[in-house]
Amino acid sequence: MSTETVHSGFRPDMSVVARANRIGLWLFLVSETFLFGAFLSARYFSSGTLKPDELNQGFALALTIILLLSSISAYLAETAMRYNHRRKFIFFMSLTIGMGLLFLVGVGVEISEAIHLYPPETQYGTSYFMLIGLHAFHVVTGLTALGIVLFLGIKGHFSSDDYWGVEGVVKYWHFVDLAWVIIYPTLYLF
Amino acid sequence: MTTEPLIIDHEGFRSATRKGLIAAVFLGVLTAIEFFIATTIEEPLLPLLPFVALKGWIILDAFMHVRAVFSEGGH
Repeated sequence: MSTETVHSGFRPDMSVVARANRIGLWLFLVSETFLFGAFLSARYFSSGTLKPDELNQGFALALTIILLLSSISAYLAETAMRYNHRRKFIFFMSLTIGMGLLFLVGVGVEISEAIHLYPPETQYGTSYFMLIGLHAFHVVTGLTALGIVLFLGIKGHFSSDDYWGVEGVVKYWHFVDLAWVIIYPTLYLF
Repeated sequence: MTTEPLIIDHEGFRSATRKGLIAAVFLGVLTAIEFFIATTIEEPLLPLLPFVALKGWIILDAFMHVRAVFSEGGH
């Protein structure tokens, strides 16, 4: 019996696979929400809405704008692949990674100032460094995944019929943005 | 890896892009209002909550397609 005969009966329905992938990703994102929720609760539990006067709200706004723009660019990259625009996909995905890196550099600058202004052993500093660190870790993992997807896209992978890899990674990136939409006011505005 | 020439849907891309850009404009405006309120009001927690919720919903709905999760095809 040839291998072909053995496997000929199994043909996975790709729409079912895609749906299962999506539900799996959403379950993962829900679990991540609980993680961020725990850290956010810790901030309000330990110090309420107390915040130091030295906070650089303008710089945090600039970081927020960069991350929002990167999310929009990621959406455009995903849309481009959904409609088979490979060149636009490469452009927007590169732009997303560039802005993600810029955000990360900004966070680095912010941390280097914050370590002197509100050190980790202070009440606000504890929450600040926990939340910023957790989020920055997600930015790094998101950027790594975006980089892999960009590399595969350049190599000719993905099309409008099969772009789950792009969709999954971009959804994760949007989640990173969504987390910041809540972390930003929690640390800088409330 | 794709070897066949692919059909590019220009109209579909334009329409989806338009939707994304409208969401982006809303996000930008809400972020600006949020910042203005935070820097002018003494206790901004309660007034800012609706803005945070709205921004979160825009990202979930327009960018992450949350409503399509359980529908056929899911996107």
